[in-house]
Amino acid sequence: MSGIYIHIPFCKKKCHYCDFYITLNKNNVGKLIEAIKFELILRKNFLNKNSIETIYFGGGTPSMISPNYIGNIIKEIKNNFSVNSNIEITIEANPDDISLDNLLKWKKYGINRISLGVQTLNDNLLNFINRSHDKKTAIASIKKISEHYDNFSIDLIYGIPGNRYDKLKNDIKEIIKFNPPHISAYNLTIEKKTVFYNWLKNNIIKKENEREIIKQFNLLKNILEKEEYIQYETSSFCKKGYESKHNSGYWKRKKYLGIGPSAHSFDGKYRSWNISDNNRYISALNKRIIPNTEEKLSKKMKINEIIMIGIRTKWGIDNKQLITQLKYDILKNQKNTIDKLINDKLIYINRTKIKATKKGSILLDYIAEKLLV
Amino acid sequence: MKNIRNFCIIAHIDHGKSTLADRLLEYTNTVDKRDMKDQLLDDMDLEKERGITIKSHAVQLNYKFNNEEYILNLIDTPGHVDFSYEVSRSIASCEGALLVIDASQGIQAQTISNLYLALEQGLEIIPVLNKIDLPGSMIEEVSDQIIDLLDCDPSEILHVSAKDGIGIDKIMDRIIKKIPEPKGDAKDNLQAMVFDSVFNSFRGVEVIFRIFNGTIKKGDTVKFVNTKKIYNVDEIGILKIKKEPKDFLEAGNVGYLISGIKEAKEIKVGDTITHKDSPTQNEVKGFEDVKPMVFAGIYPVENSDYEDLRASLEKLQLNDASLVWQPETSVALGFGFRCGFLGMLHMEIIQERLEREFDMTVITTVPSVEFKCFLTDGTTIEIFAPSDMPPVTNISYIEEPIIKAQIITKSEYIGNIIKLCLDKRGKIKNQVYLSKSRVELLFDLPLSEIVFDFYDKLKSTSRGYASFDYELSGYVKSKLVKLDILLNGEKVDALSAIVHKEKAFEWGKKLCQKLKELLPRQMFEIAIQASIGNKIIARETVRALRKNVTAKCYGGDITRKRKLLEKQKKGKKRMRQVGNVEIPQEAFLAVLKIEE
Ligand SMILES: Nc1nc2c(ncn2[C@@H]2O[C@H](COP(=O)(O)OP(=O)(O)OP(=O)(O)O)[C@@H](O)[C@H]2O)c(=O)[nH]1
Ligand SMILES: C[S@@+](CC[C@H](N)C(=O)[O-])C[C@H]1O[C@@H](n2cnc3c(N)ncnc32)[C@H](O)[C@@H]1O
Ligand code: SF4
Ligand SMILES: [Mg+2]
Repeated sequence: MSGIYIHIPFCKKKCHYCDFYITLNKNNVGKLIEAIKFELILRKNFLNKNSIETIYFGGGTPSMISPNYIGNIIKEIKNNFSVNSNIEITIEANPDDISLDNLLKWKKYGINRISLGVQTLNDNLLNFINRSHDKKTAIASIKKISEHYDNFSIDLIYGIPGNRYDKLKNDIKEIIKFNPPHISAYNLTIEKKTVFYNWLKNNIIKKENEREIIKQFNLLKNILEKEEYIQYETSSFCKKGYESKHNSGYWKRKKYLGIGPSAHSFDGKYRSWNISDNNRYISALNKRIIPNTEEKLSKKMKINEIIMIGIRTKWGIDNKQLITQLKYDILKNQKNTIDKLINDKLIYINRTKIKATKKGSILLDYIAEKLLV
Repeated sequence: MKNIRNFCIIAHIDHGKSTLADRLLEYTNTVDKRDMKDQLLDDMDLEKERGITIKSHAVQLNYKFNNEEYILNLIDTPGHVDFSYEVSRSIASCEGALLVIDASQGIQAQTISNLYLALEQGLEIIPVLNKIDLPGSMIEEVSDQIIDLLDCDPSEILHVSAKDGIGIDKIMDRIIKKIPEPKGDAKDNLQAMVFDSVFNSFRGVEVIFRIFNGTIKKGDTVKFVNTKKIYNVDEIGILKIKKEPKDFLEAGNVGYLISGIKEAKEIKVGDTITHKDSPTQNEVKGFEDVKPMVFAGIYPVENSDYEDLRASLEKLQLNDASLVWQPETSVALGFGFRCGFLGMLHMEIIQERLEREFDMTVITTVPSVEFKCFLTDGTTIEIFAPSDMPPVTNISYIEEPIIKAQIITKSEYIGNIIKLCLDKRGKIKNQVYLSKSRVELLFDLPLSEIVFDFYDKLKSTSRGYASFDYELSGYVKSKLVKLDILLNGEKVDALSAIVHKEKAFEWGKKLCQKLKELLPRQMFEIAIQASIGNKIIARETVRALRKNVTAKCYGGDITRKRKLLEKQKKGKKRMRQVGNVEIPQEAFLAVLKIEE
């Protein structure tokens, strides 16, 4: 039971908030896909013959390269790994790439889930964050996807400076009309090495006010809850049964193999990450070398991962898992901290699990930091 | 005695003393090649890691020259100004000194101050121009500086690379030929001087000494003149890499003595050792009680660790006699200790040693110097901490310690440095050109200003081209006030500082701003106020923490996010809860960084 992530590091434009490893230079697409296939073959035993339950094409913008490449990669995976029959295969797509042709080809190659990066339906804001689509394209693409795919997800970003609670409300209402089975709503994060980070430093933009952000987050939660979405992770909402299997794998600490520049992998003991550089990635793989760095997880690191990830999900931090897998009893060892957090109404305990309360749900990092060992 | 040579290696910080000692150990086969390590004599972990010498280290070398056996007693000394008293005692135990000068740096402040110490004792100086292998070495220029300083002949300067082992043979030759043999009479009454002590958990304190006159034998009853303590000599010997016991040691030599002494503080560096029954009439001159210069509170992070902290300090004091302390209580921090240090580096070292060797997590409060407070009733009290300060109405006046500071720099930085020293309430006393481009500046400065971020500023304002040395010169009257900090209306005594009246207002403002940066946001708002007496002079607010969530945590985010959270958590490990506010260690030292 494990997943494969494929990183396709190309985009048409770089969004002002984005710090993913991508390039605008498309000359290397063919060579990169070749290298990705080499890596797949070289690492065919990484998952120890476990069957593959999910494949995820992420980016970057995997929707902008020819669907044939996607097909080739899927074929290569099937040739080298044992693939589960009801596998989930997701592709991240940008609205301006959603053509009927693409949708059908992807389907033919096995894609059965689309994650669409809408971000906002406000044209001014789309322009402000440097997206290459507008509202009209976004709506049209959602419609088309919903006609051909049962399982898809819409990415939204809230807390963009200049957006307002009521505008966001209209966006969500409009999107819900298409009944997407999954919505990811991310608070805008201003990461280093992005245009927004520079603008912030030079006082060209201001961080959105915290109260406004909290208002927007609560709004999202309330509307989606009413529409019977389940918030199974802090930024992830879905209709019953439509959790992203792939992402849930990350949060349940299942093994995954990350292929492509900057992709991360996890085999249960080690976490590793590939070099974030297309050319060096390609030339290493041409020599059949995997250009990655790895880190062995100590017991303490594993405990901390479980705490930090667990508190973000509806499944919580599972003390039973900590005890059986790591011989660590968090309820006993951290009684004082836990009592204090309960007293502050940030967490509660449900049988063996520690979960965040509504108040705690916007202070997850604060809670995690307190609970780390 | 004819074949004994006693010498020390002195220099400015980092000019290569310990590395040169390595080469001498190697050259004389004192250490096996395979046991050789860089800076071998720096045997404390902290010394190794930081690459600095904290204590003097003495070692004996044997050397055959012109078919004669020689005994060479070498003392490697620390370069940092905090430990200059120790250097002066090492110097007093020798007849010669290797004055090491880094060819890429030239003469620096401690080069000069240590040279003067050596000249005062009448030592034969052997100038060693080190690091000549460096591409940036300025052999001619620095040689000229040395010639000016020592008034010597160019041929007397030895060109050496301690790193590459160049010129070591010449040093050996010079040591034998130039450094005078020790004088003294082995039949005279015993007169020996303590210049170091080493704590050994199995054997107690090993006293390291130099014999000027007389003979000391195993089993003798000896007296330490200044402490007036009497001991039986259980063991004596010489300082090979491993100590080598002997039945007796005679005038001229250097050795160790063990007599069941349990605590280093019983031993005073500089003290004279003599026989109880036939004491010398000449105690060694220049003995001083080492005086702490800087005082700060050390508190356990958890109140319950107080007794453990006491035990740890006691153990530290066993091998560091210059550390002094007494219990102190703080309203904010509870029970702790007011400790006296030789300087800021010494304070840092003690804190680090507590952490590494004793696993104690501690909070150190704002360092202070010793003020003298003259009260209206005619009495005088010493103030080591802001909390010692009596109510203003009881104070007639206050005096603060003043230092003579010597700064050596390049001429282009004179302006910046003078400005810095004036900002620090200094008075310029003299300005001497050592060469066309190098200047020595002399200032009178309040010691308290040196404690607060002086070194960092000196470094940045001179781009690292300034070296600094100082000595205490006396006390002067000064207008000082106590600046208090309140968090959510409650005075946090551990954040108080004594500052000059004219600077107090600005300090208050900056301190509040700095604290605002340093106090982590908590679940409620924190009001920070600065006050003098009952008057609030500045205010800042740390807003309550409302939202703290990372948006995304996918496969590629997990490691980065875990490391970030762990780092933040570690940063808060040294945190004290005062009332309901959590204060990190950095905040207690905020005054030191106030202008960053
Ligand atoms: N290139 C070069 N580097 C040297 C030489 N001698 C010493 N060093 C380097 O200079 C640095 C300081 O050397 P130390 O021997 O620790 O200096 P020190 O004078 O004992 O320093 P303190 O005890 O802290 O005052 C180290 O990094 C040495 O490796 C030399 O001849 N050439
Ligand atoms: C890996 S990205 C790329 C997917 C695709 N290229 C796109 O832009 O739609 C997936 C999602 O992460 C979100 N995202 C990326 N950077 C973000 C940031 N700095 N703050 C908040 N959300 C971000 C966006 O919603 C984006 O759709
Ligand atoms: S958000 Fe998506 S489209 Fe925008 S730069 Fe990042 S990966 Fe590319
Ligand atoms: Mg040294």
